Amino acid sequence: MRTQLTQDALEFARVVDIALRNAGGVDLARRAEQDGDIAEVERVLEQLGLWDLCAASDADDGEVAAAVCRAAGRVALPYPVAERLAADPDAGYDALAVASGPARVNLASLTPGLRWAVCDGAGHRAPVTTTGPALGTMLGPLVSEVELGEWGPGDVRAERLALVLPCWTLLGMMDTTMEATRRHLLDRHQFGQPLAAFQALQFRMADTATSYQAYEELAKYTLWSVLTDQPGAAVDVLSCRLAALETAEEVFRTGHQMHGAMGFCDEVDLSWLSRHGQAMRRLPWGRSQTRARLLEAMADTPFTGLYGDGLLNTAEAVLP
Amino acid sequence: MDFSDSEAAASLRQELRGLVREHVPGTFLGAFTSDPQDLALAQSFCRLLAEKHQLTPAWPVEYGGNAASPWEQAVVREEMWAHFEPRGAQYMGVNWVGPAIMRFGTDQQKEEHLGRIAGGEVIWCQGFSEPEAGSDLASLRTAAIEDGDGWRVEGQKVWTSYATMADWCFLLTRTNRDAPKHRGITVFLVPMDRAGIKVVPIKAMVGPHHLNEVFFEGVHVTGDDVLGEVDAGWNIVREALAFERVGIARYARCDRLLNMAPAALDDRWETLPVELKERWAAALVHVRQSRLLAYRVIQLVETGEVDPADTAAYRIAATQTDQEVAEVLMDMLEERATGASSRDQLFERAVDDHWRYAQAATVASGSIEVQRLLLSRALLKDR
Repeated sequence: MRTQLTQDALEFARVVDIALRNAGGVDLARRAEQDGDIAEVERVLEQLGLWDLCAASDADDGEVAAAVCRAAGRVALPYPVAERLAADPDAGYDALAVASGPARVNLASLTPGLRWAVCDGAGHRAPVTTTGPALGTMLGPLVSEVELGEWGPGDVRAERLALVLPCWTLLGMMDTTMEATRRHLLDRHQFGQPLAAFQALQFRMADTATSYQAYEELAKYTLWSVLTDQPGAAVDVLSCRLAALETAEEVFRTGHQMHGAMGFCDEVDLSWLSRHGQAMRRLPWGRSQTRARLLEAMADTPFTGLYGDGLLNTAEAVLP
Repeated sequence: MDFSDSEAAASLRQELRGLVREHVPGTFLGAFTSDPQDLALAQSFCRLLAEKHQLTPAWPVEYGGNAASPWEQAVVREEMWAHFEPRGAQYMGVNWVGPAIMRFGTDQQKEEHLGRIAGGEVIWCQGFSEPEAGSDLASLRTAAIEDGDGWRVEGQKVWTSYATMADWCFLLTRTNRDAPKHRGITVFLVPMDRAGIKVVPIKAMVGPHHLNEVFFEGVHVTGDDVLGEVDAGWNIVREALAFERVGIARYARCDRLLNMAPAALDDRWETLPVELKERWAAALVHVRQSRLLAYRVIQLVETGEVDPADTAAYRIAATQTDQEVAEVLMDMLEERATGASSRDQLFERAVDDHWRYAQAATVASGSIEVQRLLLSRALLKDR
């Protein structure tokens, strides 16, 4: 049992972290929302050599890819890192998102040079034929309406990566939110003492940190399941998404509550992370839809636990 | 990363499942029932495990263990708890009393106790909580008063699990009333048949044998009974409790019961509201998360980086998930949730037992509030 990412993955992510921070951090998102300018982002990412990674065919690269997505999430990077790392350019597409029906895709309009495709989570893929302008709304500033071409068979590994890698991006957003909230509780004084001294806030922070840690471990497990084609991978990606949505709701809610009015202000990074996280939390499916899909998927693919089928192949359906 | 069992852990898991299948009847729902045969079965199963050095697999070979990895120890915890703990009352002796004696005991104490614990021959209880000392354990009042060649113990313990059947007590006493409360505490290893000890069972919803009062009236103890040093017991308690780290593998029974539900409910499964089935699916995810948090702690133990905050996060998640699963399963039983008694309703009885015991999950072994304090203190350190 090894529950940690490879040292290579951690080291690569550290380099990405530093590069993105030096390039402006969350200010990169502020700039992109203002005028769609992501030239600096593209330059930095190109220099880092991210697009040589083959997450779909190499498990070590897959771990690096996940760690990079997390680093991108920490600054709400206005670029489809997860979508590009899930894609297979040799199969004719450069970026892959999950969507179905009349589709909305996050970050597509920022990258007109990329060949986008969507997959439906059920084994089908369709090319994006037309990308509309960014909606520019508060909660979907960089989301676009897209038109799709004909649906055809998709690639299972790529589809699962397209579900799990954005979960790592969301994890990165939670990293920053948790640290900012921790810092605020220590720095902000009310009633003559730091907020961190109030037990009600301590307890809430402890519960939120527990959920966040539990989600981090699940994100790692799910990545391993996908990269090693575990029998339960099809439901694992949905369970990871469900946990991501549950945890994001708790982490951002706690972040906003602890920050008070300050957390809503554009000068504070939390406000940007919270708004830009919305696209990932609502697209392609929100919490209820994801939960319904998970239950449906469990009918065909047993959920792997100690006593489910799969990992140990020791299902014991009834007592004894 | 690799989340699969190692070859040794997978083989141990299969061996344990085989032993359970062969020696533990399907009707067994724990050693602590009103039927004395359940306890007898647990005692004989313990001896069977001990013969195979599987009762204390992670202990050093010289003390009756197998020098196994913490991962194999976790397998034992998971398999035993999932099968309604056929080790019975061995939990404390195996998990932390033994390791504490290894760390702080004299050669004579090691000789006397470790072999018997590894052999499954002895049951321990912990003399910790008192009427006025619960979560604030260090405020305990049970006194050991110097008397002739030793001390005379006067006082009362409460909530003492297994006291009615225990052979030995890991007893915390106050030996110095003038010292600050965390100092002046001494640990004694006391046989439960020593004169002056009286056990009074407390009837409770968690079932028989779980809760007792223990009264100490003029109980004579000597220097040979002291574990570690006089007045330095608090350090032993802190370290002893750290030995168990992840404690009970509650998630393993949750996992098993949730997985049984569709087949056990049979036709009724199809008629359940979709919303309830979705809660069941989500509960499976939460159980997996609890298991992974336990593995996180074990991984940190392996690298020597674990601190109480990591353990606290696991415990907060695992105990709350235990209660979540209990509610989901009870909802699935519908009207049968109000009582199951006949022997052909095993699943209902298992759920009934799980729900009652789960109520104590966030209270026992350090309340969830204490875990939140530990975690938040670590989180909110100014660094």
